[in-house]
Amino acid sequence: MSAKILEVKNLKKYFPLKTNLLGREKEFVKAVDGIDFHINYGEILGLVGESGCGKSTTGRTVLRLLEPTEGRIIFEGQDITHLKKNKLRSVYKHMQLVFQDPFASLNPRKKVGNAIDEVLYVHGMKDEAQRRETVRELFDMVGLRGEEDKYPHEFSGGQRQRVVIARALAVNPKLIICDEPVSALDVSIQAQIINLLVSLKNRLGLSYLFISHDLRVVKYMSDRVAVMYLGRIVEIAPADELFKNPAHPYSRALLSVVSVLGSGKNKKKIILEGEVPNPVNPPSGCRFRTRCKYATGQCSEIEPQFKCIGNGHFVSCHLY
Amino acid sequence: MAMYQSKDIEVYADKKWLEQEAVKEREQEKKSALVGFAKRLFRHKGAVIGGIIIILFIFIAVFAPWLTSYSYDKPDISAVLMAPCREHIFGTDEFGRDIFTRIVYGARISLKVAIIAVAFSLVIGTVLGAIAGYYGGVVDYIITSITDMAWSFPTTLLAIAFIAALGTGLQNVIIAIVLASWSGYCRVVRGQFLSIKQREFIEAARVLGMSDARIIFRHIFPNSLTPVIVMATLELPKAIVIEASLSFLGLGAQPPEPSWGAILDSGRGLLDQAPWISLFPGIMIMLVVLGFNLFGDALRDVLDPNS
Ligand SMILES: Nc1ncnc2c1ncn2[C@@H]1O[C@H](COP(=O)(O)OP(=O)(O)OP(=O)(O)O)[C@@H](O)[C@H]1O
Ligand SMILES: [Mg+2]
Repeated sequence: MSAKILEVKNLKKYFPLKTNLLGREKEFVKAVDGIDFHINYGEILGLVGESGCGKSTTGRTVLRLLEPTEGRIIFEGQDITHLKKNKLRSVYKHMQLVFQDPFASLNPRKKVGNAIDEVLYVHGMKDEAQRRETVRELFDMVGLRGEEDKYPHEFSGGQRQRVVIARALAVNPKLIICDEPVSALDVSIQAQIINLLVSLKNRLGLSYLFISHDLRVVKYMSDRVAVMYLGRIVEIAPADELFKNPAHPYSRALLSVVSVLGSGKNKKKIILEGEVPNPVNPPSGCRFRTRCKYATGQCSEIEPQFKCIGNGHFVSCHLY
Repeated sequence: MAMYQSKDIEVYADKKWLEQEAVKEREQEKKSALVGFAKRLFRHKGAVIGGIIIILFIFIAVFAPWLTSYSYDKPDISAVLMAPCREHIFGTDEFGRDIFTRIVYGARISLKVAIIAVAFSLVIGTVLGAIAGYYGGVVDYIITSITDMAWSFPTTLLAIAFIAALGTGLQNVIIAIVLASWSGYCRVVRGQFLSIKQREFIEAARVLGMSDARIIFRHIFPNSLTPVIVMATLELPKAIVIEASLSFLGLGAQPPEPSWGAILDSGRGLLDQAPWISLFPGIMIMLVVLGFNLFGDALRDVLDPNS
């Protein structure tokens, strides 16, 4: 039984750092360096990690906006890793993207209604009246009834994000990759957008890859959460389980911030020593070892493999 | 769910006034879009002066036959080398032709050559620049190399070289101007495409399944138009000068065609007896160039979002 809508295997994305005259690339930013995860139908997978750990690169590579360096992307049972450009359109019917900055992701010279009308047209809805009706419904769905004839700059940030969501929904997707969809918004508006995303998910049976560095939002939204560090996923677990029993030393440090904020017991905030290493030359063995207080000799020699420690809780650390 | 909301709203309640400010600003922005553009243009001295000169120039060119009762090419032995007077306000040349009439018809040549040459170089430069900027890679490398070569030659010199190869005549003048000036548009458009292509709404368009052609023409191009328009406005006077220069050198308009450059040249040997023959076309060239430059600069000022 294949309940997975998306499966990513050993995905890598390296950005060439320097190109010499002959076009040969010598050094690479290893933005994403061999990650595995899957998303089930109707599931929200949260992806958390510090700035620069490769979250956005993961999202963009899964969508083939960036060409993967290695690995496989399987969407609805179909390997789309090397799908030709013209065939990708059929994939984009089912997989969409919501960006962090809604203003940047809207064409400033197009009325928002026309922008969505264009999407419908491109995807084969040639009847104008039908398109107008669909646009109206979509705006209704995201709480912007009758606002189709405005330009992006006439909206507030939250409203713009609603437009972006409506546009993503125009193709009737099953999976939406949300790359920090609320980080650019006022906190007072974040809650509204998050509730909209949740209610749309329930109503339309969507799945999300929900990228964020805001752990409270991820905790609230996600069914499962993946923790990313320096191009790798270090831990994946159901959200409750992860926030209750973070296993990886990095997750523990990351989550200690949230536990300080919320839920009763005032656990101590764990402060991480040192800087995030350069993704061009990541540490050997376990990437986190340079900042890990439990690091031993084997951490620098052997890369830890993913281990299941029960309850669908996976961690890659030599402690387990 | 409710907890999440209430807590945050409390913390950020005092930010409400910010939101209201933003709404006000947005409304102002909306009104000012087109009206503001026109207003700012009208308030700009350069735009008004330049605009008036350009309108007069176009008016003269279009209505030439109605502005004069003389012929621009028929000799009149009874009126040779007349100084400016009531019948011939700009005087006559050694064949007795009315200089005003020749200048009025000459405006047609200037305008025609400039518009055709600019239109062609704009289209060629824009298409090549768009392809180079959008696709990058080898295509970009090839187009950029050619563009840089074309760009590094002085325009007039390049035009003269082309005329030498192609032969004289206005048609070849147009071809020469196009060959000498398309590279400017190519560079500008390529730069625009390079930067706009990286903006998120283009990425969004790709994810929304839009074809390259649609993205190029419907999304990137309309957003890169401003500098192209400014450039075209500033290229028009250059084209007029190149045409006049080539005609002055005898490489462009051939007698009896009344190009301003050719009229200027025809008065060269008679400067001491009949200075008006060269003087008036010279003034006209200067005025028209000034007009377009004033207007082009004003357009750049007004369209520049940073000003
Ligand atoms: N187009 C690119 N070319 C070169 N390097 C890149 C490119 N895009 C991203 N990177 C690098 O890849 C690494 C991961 O970047 P990415 O944007 O995926 O991080 P992120 O987790 O989304 O961070 P943030 O929270 O800041 O959005 C960073 O070191 C970044 O500098
Ligand atoms: Mg990011």
